[in-house]
Amino acid sequence: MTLTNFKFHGGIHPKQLKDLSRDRAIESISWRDEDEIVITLSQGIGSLNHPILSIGDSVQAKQRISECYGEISVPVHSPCDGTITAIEERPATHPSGLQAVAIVIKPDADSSKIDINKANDLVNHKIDVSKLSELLSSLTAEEIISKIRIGGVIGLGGAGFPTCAKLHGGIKTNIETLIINGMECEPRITCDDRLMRERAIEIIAGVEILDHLLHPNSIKIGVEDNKPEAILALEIATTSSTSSIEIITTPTLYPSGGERQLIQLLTGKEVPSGTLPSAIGVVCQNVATVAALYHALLERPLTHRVVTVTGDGVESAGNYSVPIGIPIDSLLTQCGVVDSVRITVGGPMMGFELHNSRSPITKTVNCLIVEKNSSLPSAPERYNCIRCASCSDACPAKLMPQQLYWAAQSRDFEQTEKLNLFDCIECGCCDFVCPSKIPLVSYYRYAKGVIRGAKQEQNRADEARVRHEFHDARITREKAEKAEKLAKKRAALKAKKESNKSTDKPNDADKKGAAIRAAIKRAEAKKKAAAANS
Amino acid sequence: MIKTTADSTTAREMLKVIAALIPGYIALSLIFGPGALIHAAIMIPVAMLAEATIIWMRSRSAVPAIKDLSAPLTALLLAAALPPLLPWWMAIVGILFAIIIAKQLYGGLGQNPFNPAMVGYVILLVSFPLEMTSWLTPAGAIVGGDTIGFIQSAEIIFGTIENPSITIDGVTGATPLDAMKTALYQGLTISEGIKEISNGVLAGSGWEIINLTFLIGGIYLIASRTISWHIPVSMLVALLIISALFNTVDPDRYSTPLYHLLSGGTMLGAFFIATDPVTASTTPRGRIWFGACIGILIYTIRSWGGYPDAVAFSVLLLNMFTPLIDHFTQPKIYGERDNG
Amino acid sequence: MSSMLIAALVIGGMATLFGALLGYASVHYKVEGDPITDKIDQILPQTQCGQCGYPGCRPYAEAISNEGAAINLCPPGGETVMVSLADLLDREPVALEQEERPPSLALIDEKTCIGCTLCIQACPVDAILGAAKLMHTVIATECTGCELCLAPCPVDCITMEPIPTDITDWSWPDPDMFKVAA
Repeated sequence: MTLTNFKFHGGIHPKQLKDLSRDRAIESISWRDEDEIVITLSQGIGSLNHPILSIGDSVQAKQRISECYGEISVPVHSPCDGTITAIEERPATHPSGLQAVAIVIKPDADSSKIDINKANDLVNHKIDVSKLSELLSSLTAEEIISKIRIGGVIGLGGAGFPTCAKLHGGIKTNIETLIINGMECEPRITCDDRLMRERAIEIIAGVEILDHLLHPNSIKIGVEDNKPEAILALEIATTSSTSSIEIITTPTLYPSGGERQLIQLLTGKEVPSGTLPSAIGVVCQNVATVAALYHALLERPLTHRVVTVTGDGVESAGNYSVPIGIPIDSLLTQCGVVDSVRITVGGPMMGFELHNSRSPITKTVNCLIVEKNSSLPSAPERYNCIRCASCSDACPAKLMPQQLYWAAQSRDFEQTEKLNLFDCIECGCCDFVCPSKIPLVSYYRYAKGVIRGAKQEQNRADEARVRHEFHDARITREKAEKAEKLAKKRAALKAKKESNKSTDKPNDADKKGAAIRAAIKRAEAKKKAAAANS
Repeated sequence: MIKTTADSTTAREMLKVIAALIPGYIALSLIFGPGALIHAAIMIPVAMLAEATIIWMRSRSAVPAIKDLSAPLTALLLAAALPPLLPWWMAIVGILFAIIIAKQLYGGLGQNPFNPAMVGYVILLVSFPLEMTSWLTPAGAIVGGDTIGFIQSAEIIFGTIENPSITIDGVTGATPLDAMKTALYQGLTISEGIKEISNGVLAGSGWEIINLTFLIGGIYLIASRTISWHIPVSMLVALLIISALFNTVDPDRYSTPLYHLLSGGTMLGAFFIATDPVTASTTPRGRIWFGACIGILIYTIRSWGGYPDAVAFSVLLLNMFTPLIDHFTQPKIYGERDNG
Repeated sequence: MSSMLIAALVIGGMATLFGALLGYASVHYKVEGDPITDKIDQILPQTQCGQCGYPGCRPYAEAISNEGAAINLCPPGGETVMVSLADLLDREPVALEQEERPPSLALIDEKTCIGCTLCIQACPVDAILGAAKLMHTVIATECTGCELCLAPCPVDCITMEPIPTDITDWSWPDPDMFKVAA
């Protein structure tokens, strides 16, 4: 264990509040008989999945149920044996509270016991080292990444960026440092802490796979110093590892678990604005993701994850291994939820309020904070910005949040972009320190949305312009062609007439006239018929 | 959504600044009598009332604006800067101007480009130059002699009694900065001037104590992270350097650095006025420029300008440049590329 | 006398110099085409709907720059476009002539469609697919919602459907909407 020599700008010390769940070992909670499993087709970042089964089809646990297109997308799997009962819009676990298309599966009766047993088997999981190395040496890098992708692995730390996409970037460049993120810097969340304490060997196995894949010069696992047990567990697990892994302890400071902040904290390097960490030879993965990719390689796709349930609104706070797709209200009921609570998905700094408790657990849900409505503080009174710049001091991206706020609230979005709005990681440090209690991040999110929307609109307009210009050009061309044809015909007719004159065929004109008259009559009859019909 | 936030609130920050003013106020009262306290007692309610009225006229809720304590702070800063026996109605004109014109007409707290207290001060200075430069001769336990009492102060400030026990002409004198200026005009050297104006050691008796007490309050503000060190330090260092420079060149015509640091409103300005977050620069580098320019301007106006002290003018002038300074001193962001 | 001569020479010399500079600049930095029309065209939403009274976005752009047409005639662009135009042309923003409509797409009721191809001819961006006497359909990603296909349809089988917001294009709302007047 070593201490880090580097630090990042700003950061804050919110109350940790992890005691409620940090000493509770991971337990399994499965669906109840009355539950249905709802697998949202868009999980994390990436393009929408397409279902590959139909309503009425039966599925088995671990079975892939969707197809994904594009490099930044991974499929979803069924956590249970059951039957697909619907493919329809369901409340999504999303800050918008909107619905999203999901595959709904009715689990077979009593299948939850099997699910729990399987999960318990994993607790005493032993890693077959020789089998793993054999498997790794038999596969090419592309095949390994493909297995991780088909296993449905995305970043489990929050944003949900497909792991395969990061690894693709990683094998294309020379990776200097592989960073494993075990910081869990947000208050209240303890699921990664527990995972490191209880399943360090799986994490280390995953790290070894990444080592094999990326050949980094060094591997660093970053853990905040408020998790001594996790550090110890990782230390023990690394002693038998074939990879040389360094465990680095950092001071507890939010947001040290932000990818860019962690990279700065462990390597002293900054990821250039607008690029990915691979640009400076770094790949960063969360501990839970690393464990998941180990399982994915061994044909155990991502169907379960550990979720911290905490807050004064539940009787048994703790860390639970739950099937992805279980409705949140089912999980909370099994944890003993009290009535009238507010549910926050994610941590208190970056999480969002859940609108509908029937929304399912998705791959990116790491924490549910359940608070009694009665114990919630009233919204703090908001004052005017006094430009005290406490936010600038706290901003880990070294932005000028108060200037961004002035620009955003006066709808000067061009200025927000000049002030590097898109380098904001929405960590909420500025919100936290603001003495005037201004919801700064909300303004940045709003501004980002407006700018993105405008860019999309501009792209659409540009496309429409191209299509319209092409349309016009086509019409002109067609007209010209028609005119040309007509001119040719006329010329031909003229020539014919002249030749006719010489041979003199008086019947010809009469014939033509009769034909036209007949055609007019036919058209009139048709029109009458049409009128009668309607 | 209710987010987790730190305990600091605008009101709490203002309260810290008010607390930091206490030593300065004690020194002012001991040396010049309770004039500043009387002024503060008049101006605080007027400031809050004016603020509430304007906000009410804009049909908004006045409660947050009253609770944020910014109006009382403005009143306290202005009262600390006024001559202790200034007539009460002038004090009211000053604070009304500060709150209504300089602050609320721009949109209230956070929207004003100029420091309200200094706008009030400058308006009084240009409107009532005689009264605004009539300071008391320092007295009291610290520097010897009797301090003017509460009743006497009140009599003069309110002007209610036809034959007050003392008259304003009997007790007032110019500030050391003012007197020094006059002395220099008369062709005296600095050392002769110091002997002329007071029995004090450095910057005229009493004034150095007042400045030191404001310095103590300022150090508390920096220690409690209410203000950042950039502005006061750069301002004082700039003042120190420029005054040392000229003093070395011609000690007869230019006062010593210590004299400049400890006279007039230097410390009050450095820690309490120039650091007003609303009107000061916000970037770290910008704050250094902001402070340094104020320091240099103060020296310039004191040495070659028409007014004896220059904190108010310097701060207001730099307030004008704040957006420009901020624009050119944007800090390098995380991951910023050199070519971009 | 000589001082007057010097002054005349200096002024004359400067006039010649600046004149030459101006002349050079006008040749060397000659602006090709009409950039302001292009800029206006960039801002317009390119729906080609003709609701402004001009036969398309480009003609409207030309009308604004050459004939001084009003900047508030574009309903699909709404307030955003009007404000951008006001910014670009340094004109006062004016209220929209018509109400802003939510973005929508044309939808052909495929049961009613008789395959007359009239809408295909009307579509300014070739976003309708079909052939004579065969059912037509709208390519949703290309439709600009201009409504030009509605009028020609003899059987009124085309409707405008507002585009619903889904998770992928949802964005955070304006926090000032919830701000309690302070």
